[in-house]
Amino acid sequence: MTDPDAGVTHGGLTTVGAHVVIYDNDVSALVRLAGSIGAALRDAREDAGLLAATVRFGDSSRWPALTADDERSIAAAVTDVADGVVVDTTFSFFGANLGSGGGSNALAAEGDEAVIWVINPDTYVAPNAATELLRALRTHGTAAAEARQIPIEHQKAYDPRTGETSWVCGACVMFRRDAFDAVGGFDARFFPLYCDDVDLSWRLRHAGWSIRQVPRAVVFHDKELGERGPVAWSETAAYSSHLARLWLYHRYDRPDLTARFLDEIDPVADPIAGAAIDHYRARVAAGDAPDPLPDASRVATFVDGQYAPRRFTYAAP
Amino acid sequence: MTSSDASTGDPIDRVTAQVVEQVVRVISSSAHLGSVVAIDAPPQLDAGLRSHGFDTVRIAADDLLGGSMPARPPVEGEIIAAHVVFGGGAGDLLGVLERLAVESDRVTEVGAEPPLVVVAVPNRITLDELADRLDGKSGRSAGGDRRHLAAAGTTADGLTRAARRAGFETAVVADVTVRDPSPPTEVRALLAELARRAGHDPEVRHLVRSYRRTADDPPGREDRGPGATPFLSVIVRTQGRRSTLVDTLTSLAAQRDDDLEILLMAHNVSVEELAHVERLAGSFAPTFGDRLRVTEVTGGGRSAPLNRALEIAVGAYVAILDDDDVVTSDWVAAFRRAAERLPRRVVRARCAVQSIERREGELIDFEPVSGLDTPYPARFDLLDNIRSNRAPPCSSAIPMWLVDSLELRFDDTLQVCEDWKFQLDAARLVGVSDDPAVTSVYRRWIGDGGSAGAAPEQVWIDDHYRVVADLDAEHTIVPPGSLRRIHELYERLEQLEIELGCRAPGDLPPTFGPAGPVRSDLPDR
Repeated sequence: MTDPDAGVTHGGLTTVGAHVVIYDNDVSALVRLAGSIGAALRDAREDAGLLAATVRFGDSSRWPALTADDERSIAAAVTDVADGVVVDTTFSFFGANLGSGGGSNALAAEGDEAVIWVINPDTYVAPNAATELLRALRTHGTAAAEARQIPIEHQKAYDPRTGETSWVCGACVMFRRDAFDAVGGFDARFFPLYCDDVDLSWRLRHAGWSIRQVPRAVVFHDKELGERGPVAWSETAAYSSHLARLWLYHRYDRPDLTARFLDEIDPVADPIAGAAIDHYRARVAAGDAPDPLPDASRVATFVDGQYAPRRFTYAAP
Repeated sequence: MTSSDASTGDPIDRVTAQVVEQVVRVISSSAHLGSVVAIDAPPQLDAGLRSHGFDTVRIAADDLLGGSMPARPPVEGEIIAAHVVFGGGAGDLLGVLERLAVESDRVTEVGAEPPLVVVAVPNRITLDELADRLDGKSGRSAGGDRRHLAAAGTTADGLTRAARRAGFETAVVADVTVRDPSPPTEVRALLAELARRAGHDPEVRHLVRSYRRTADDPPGREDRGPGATPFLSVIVRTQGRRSTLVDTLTSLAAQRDDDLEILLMAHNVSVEELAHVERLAGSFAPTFGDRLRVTEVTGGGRSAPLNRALEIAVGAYVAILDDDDVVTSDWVAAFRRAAERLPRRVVRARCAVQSIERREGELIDFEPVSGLDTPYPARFDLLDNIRSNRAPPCSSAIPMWLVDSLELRFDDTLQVCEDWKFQLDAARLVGVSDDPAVTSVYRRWIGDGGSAGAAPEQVWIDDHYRVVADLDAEHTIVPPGSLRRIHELYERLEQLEIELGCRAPGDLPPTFGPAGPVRSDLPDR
């Protein structure tokens, strides 16, 4: 286990790279998000000693999702609010779908700020979000701090006094760059999204870091509500989720859960899950699978098909 | 009934005589000498004024509007005690009042006392005008439409608004009332109730009001032109103590349809709490922050900040969002869809419920303890909602024209249930347009922390029955299909009583008279 704080002082966490990976997102929503990021960074300058920030948008779309005018509008939405604390707002077209995790890694590589702030494109951050996350991140030994989501709060458990939790959700989370880099950032195998945040969280914890929920930091995560909770996933989301599950079982050394999952799935009845299984098996056969982590059970929390204990439950869609 | 004119012996309308008498009384109680400029006044006014020592100078409204009011300063020693306007024709009453405001300012500039303005107009409304007002097609809902204000002298509300628009404030109300001693039929009573809602009291035969020039600017709401108003005004009342307020405001900031204004009403707050609310409001990006107004309200019950918000709201619809509830990004859009499908009605979308509990000594002072549920019906049913409030306030928005034209307000005599009463008052007048989307999350407090703790349980029970009693004191128009449902409810009740052995088959059911099953032990209001 490495020393989480070797060579790093809390006072060094005064620069932020705020990163948004987009994929054909609505421009007006991105402009709103940009304004909220600007307001949050302004607040963090006033209340959390933030010295400088760069806001980066990475485009994983097949074709550029933003025109030059769109980029100007988004950049203006940041700088109109951020009042000098934002050094620059940049836009990168990846030319390929890197996925959420791969895209975040690419954006992280564009800068060297002490803090990496990963933000989903379908969110709106509260003005106090950056301030509260930075304060939590400066707690000794903390590698990641996530915001509380509204209108649908995530049901996973966390320590109500320290905020420590099993994993942090990538919708709105700050990382210490040194910790992020030390564990290799997101694993792009979790493509295009889902559970890349679980995996990164567990690797950080495996390296000795703490990760925390910060309930006073609020982020609006745009979700459609059904009768009993969030609406049903798309087929793409279901596929990604099944594949991610298999990667987690693999990396965190749970062959029993892998076997149970493969046994329970009827590929004829559930062709989406069947396709994910086929992909998983092909990657394993090709040697392109993550190596199981030693002593992984001390960080991996598999509970009733979830990755953390739950405080409450949303009904299935 | 008529009475004779003493000077001419000609028969004259008794109401006209009463109006003249009231006008003279209002003027003589305010001034003791001088001239009275009478605009379109009946000849009977002269004798009445003369008997009190006033001279009369006559002028036609058309001449006044054409600029014929003498532009000279008053002759030294001359006192203009009052300008009296008799309306009731097709004339431009607003134009006359605006002209009188100019004249009043001119008089003031030369150091004289501005004259009293007295207006006497018949209180008349045609059935078509009444229907338009009740349907939101005319009246104050027309905004600053001069045409409507010009003709507004036919109702008390319209006259007041025209006077305010011209720059006058009401001094004395001396209306002439004629009451029919015989009890009205049900349909006439219904029409009278509807007329009163539209700002027209059928017992007031003639409006007689006096006005003073005011230095206040005319209210801005009436000056807005078409297209200058947001679709939705959102009222968020707060006492600044809830950590959930940032949730509520952030969910509003994330709206895809951002054609809204937010009225953040800080009620009975301390200096520190107000500062906290203002700081939070000011911390949002301007694209949202510029739509957000903080207003401090001191005193009054739960309705006070809501009614104050109605005074300053400029949206086409108004909704309440409690400072612990959150909405999805299409909350405004869903209301708009419902409004486009059925205009001028209450708009409603579905609401989910999540239970939350208070926490002490933890990172945050509340926590969800349940998932989401949708216990409220997908479609609004009037009878169902009379039995009990079937949806939190965040699930609906009320068309502002009900506030403007029909003076819909929150009942500040209720300690609780004020939102239920407001929604019902609106829904039973204009109906409801439903959208099927689930767009809000009502956070229901388990234990203390929520509105359930705003009053003891007995107050909730008492106010519930007061709302029912208030509704029951007026006629309610129920949509087709309602009587059949009532009939079915009676059948079920009778069947249950038979099954429970409370009544034998074939026995006639007890008669539910006016006192009915509603509690009769409550004090009269």
